[in-house]
Amino acid sequence: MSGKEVSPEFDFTAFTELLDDRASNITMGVVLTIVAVVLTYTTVDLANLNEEVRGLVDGDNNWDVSFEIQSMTFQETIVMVDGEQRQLDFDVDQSDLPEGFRVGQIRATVSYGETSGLPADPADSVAANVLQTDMQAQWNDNNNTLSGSSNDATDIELILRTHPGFTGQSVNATGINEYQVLQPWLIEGFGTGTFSVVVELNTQSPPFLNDSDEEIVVNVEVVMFKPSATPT
Amino acid sequence: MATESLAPVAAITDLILGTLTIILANRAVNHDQHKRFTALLFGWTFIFIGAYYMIISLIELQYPDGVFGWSLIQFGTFAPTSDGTFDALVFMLYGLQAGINILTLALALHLPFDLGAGRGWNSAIIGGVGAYCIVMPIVILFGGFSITVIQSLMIFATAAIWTMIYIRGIVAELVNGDEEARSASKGAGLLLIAFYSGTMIWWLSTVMLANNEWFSGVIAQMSESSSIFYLLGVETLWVAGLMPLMVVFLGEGYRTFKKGSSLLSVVIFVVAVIGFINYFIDIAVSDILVSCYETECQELPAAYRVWETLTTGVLSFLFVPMLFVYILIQYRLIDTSLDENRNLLRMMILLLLLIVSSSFIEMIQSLIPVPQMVTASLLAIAVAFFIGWEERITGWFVNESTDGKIVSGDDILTQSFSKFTVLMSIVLIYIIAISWLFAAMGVGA
Repeated sequence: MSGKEVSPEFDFTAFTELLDDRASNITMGVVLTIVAVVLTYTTVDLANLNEEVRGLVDGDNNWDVSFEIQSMTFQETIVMVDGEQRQLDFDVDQSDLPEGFRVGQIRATVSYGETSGLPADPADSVAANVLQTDMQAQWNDNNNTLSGSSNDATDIELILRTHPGFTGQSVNATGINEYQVLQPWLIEGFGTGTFSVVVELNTQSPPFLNDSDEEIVVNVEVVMFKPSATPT
Repeated sequence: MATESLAPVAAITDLILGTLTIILANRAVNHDQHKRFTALLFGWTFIFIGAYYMIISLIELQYPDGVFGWSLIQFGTFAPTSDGTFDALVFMLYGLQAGINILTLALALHLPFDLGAGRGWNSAIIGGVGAYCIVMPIVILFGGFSITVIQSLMIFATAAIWTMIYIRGIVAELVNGDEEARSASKGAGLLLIAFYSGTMIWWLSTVMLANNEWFSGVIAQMSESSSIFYLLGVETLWVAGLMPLMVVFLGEGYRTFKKGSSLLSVVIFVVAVIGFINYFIDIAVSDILVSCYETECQELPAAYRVWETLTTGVLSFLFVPMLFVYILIQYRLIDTSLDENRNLLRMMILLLLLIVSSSFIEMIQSLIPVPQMVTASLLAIAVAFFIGWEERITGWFVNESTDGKIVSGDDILTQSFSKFTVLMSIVLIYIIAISWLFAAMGVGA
């Protein structure tokens, strides 16, 4: 047998020496206990948060968006002469809107009758159209009616949709929370500015009599909405 | 306000320091074998950290509009994109992160002193590092990325080893009056700060659950619900920073009261104060942190980015490399007695100081509108100072301390040095190759 000492394959004496001091071990024990407590409560808190967040993200994300409707109206009565064309401007200011409301659409009704009093006087001919202004609105929406005419004294109905997607009816939406669902309906700026209606009159007179003017009433209704969302 | 990224600076600094350290470790044939091997481990840690920051810099350069957060790698929240190059770069980061983790554990088993010995000890370390670097990246890429948090256990174990060494050293010094034990506690404390300062500066946010609030925003963007084990892994990582901070802060607080301040005590107090402030910053921006699921995702304010750059950025990118060099020299891991080594060492220190000071000045310029002439003058002053005081600065790094005596361990076969260098070079190439390969194959998509 050789007298030379063969070193072992692995020797963890240094590691065991590290753990042979009672005061250090107690200190480390206290530290590890505190660490275990912190690890437990932070993990439980994160697990609860995870459940809450996944509930929002993965949950049923269908919402019903409904609208509380209010209106603001303008009326203008004018007397026009034969062949006259007149532009009427209606200013809708952001400060005129109630808190939380946006402008959904603007309706204009042009009304008139035959007021000459002449016998057998036929109704005059009136044409009306909405002039495109700087107002932010859905000017190319297929559901708009931006021009119309009448020669039998029936009302001319014009409509301009201002807020994207607004029809006045409730809509379905998807999103992880109410805030995100309502975002498209909370955009400000649509429907404020100048709304202009151009009215043109062509009078119709009975034979040998002269009907040269007419009284025309323009009613403008600004339809405003306040959205709210409920999960379905 | 756009802030300059410090990642490229850290990449260059770490890669240069890594190369110099490996050269010095391989060259010092007459130096203590254990110290040489520890220096080699340090050198490769530098290289891996440098490569990691280099890829971060590439991503920042190539994808400036992309959102690339720390949690993407550390907590495995990455979801592959359709961009193969981007995916490949992120895959590399996962591989490099695994390499850094195992090299750090290997360092903890060797520094301040060797916790193991025997004929097979160093071979087992080399084999373990190699095997881990080969297997772990594959496990992460094919295991769905989030499995990377399993490494939190290893990160915690590494912190626990150094924390225990710190406690042992500080108790021996302050309770038993063993003055030489300070070398162990100082070494362990500095290593803990060097490797864990990134999580240490969120210590109060960990305790007060503000980190969880932040992470809930990350969870909201993940495609699947996370298991309790994953969440435990996330918390373990935070606690791996909290535990050493708590211990070193209390230990250094008591030591400062008894014996006065030291480099370690000053640094740990600064880190603790940053962590204290960070919690209140978390509170200030809490609405933004949870905005992704409570309202809609919002950007953090510019002031937050400035603070993050000045604290986390400066600490991780500029201060940590200096700390590494200080440890490397103070604990005599590289032989500073030879003239040729001393010249290389002087070059290393000057290079480090100049890179750090010039980057810091550039960063300040990007944050506050200081005229270029002023910052150029400041840099000139710094250069003059470093050249004029070069001897003294190098002397401060290489001062005659007894710290080096504590670093002890058994011998290692001479050929193991070159084998380890070859092995780590192959590992580096392997990580790059498999990342390109699997990104091109659409792994994880």
